[in-house]
Amino acid sequence: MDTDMGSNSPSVPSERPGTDPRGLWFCLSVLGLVILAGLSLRFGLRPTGWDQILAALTDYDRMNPDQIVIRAIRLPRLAGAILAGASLGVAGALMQGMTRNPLADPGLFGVNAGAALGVVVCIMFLGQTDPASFIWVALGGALVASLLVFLLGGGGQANPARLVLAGAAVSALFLALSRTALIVSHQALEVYRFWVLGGFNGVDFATINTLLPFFAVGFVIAIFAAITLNALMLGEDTARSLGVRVGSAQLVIGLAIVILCGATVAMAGPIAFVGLIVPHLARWRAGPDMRWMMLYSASFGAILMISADLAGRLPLFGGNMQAGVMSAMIGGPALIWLVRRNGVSKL
Amino acid sequence: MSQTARLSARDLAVSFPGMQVLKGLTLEIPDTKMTVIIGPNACGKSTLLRSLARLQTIGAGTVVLDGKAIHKENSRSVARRLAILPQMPTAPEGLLVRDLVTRGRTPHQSALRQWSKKDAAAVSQALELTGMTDNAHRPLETLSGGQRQRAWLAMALAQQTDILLLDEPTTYLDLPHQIELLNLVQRLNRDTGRTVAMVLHDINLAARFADHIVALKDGQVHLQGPPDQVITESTMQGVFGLACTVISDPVHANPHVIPA
Repeated sequence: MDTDMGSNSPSVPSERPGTDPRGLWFCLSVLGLVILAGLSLRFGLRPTGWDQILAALTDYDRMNPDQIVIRAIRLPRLAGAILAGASLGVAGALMQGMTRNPLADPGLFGVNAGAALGVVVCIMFLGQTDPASFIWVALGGALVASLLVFLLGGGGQANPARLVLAGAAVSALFLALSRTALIVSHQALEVYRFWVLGGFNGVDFATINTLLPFFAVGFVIAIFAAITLNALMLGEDTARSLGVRVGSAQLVIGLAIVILCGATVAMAGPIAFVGLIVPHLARWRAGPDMRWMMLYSASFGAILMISADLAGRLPLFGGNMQAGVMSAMIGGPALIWLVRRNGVSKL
Repeated sequence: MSQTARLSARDLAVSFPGMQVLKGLTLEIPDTKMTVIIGPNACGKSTLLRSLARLQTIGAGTVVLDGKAIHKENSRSVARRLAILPQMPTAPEGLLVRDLVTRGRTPHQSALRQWSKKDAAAVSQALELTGMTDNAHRPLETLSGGQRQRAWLAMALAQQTDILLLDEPTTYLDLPHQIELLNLVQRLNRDTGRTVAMVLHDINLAARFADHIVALKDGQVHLQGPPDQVITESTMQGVFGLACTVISDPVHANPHVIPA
């Protein structure tokens, strides 16, 4: 191989993260995230001042009611929203990238419904009511649903349209099973009713600590999978030619999706739309590079989730509307706007 | 059979449901030469090329790269020695030429070592060799068919492999762009010493650009050798069932098929 290193190679903005607009935009989005996080700590039924927030974070006074509210209620709620938003955003980006299907979404593909059925079973038969104890059943349900969708969608030769249909069918089936179970058990319905709307007001640090390793594993896989996904988006043949082991890559990425969605559903219920809409918003700034897609999807997902949680605290919505409901109310119109603006980008 | 060629197939058999495509085929791809595989539709040309590049799961036999069975080797290690440009690859919307070519570096990268000067040099060099440097910052979908094919070729070149396989690289190109692309591939072969093997439909282009021609029929090698030995009236009749006259191309002196 000749090695005439192109000595006068032009500067290459698109391959060094520090030197192109994507870096700047990402910093801006993180700044927005920090501002929203501040607002999320400040506003709620009990008015608190910035000084109390600062004190609660740096010099916690366990006797001060304002600081207790901030530290014990709003902070875990904020952390939950960030984790859930980032997870769903990243899971959606992984799914859309892997299936090369712009409509891929953990909600549409039945993963959330599977996790939800797992949780219902857990509430009914095991009498559990603590979100932290939902994790394994949620993961199990999500896994079963994903496998079903994959098999119904055509297995190894799955095509996008068939996957969407299989996802819809499996979602409908699992939802019906959940509902049947709930009709039978009144007590389960009470727990479920609150959890299924998707919200963060029940989240505490104990739950987050239990789920944190799962989120961490999901995010780490996502970061490592980005290069592989970049190759996979050129088609499976090209990916193989570039040395990607396509089957095992899809398996690992699928596992990350199941873990991220399962943990999120266990914590906050099945939250619709975030996994679908966030990757589209992210693509608008990140372009077709999956490494940037992961970063942007995490940050935009967290922003959307905090915004939804904040908007739910407005008096207009009764002061405590579930974030899952709000995210669908924000996400639905946003998706319509995106589609009308320039069509959904082909993947 | 002397084991000199780096890439070879031995007793290769591949079946699709209800049909055996390759039937115990043995073949060596001569090092540093341009090899062109020809044959009628559905004779197994693409399947052979894809099997040689381990894209195709094989039923029996082996494909050997550098003395080892390619289907059992580490895929990344293979990808640093052998590249294939498949038919009709797809790209996400908005992908810039440079970013596409950059993805050719995938087998040289890892999550911990994502980008190096060597990668940048390989990408610049691939763009230069294919004449795509000026188009590096254009999205793929804004390019003409010929430019797009050169961009994909640049991606395969950035992989910096000694062996390059091309599956019908001239499909959907008009004649001037076919010639342009094949000239480019030939220059790469001559200048960088890369072994090239490709599938072509056009026999006259095959005769003009190949050092070595492999004529396939019914999943087996019918005949192989230099163009003037393979492109003959009897081979055309035997392989394609084509009645023709073969003359010597008055300009390039290679065999030229004139169908009857």
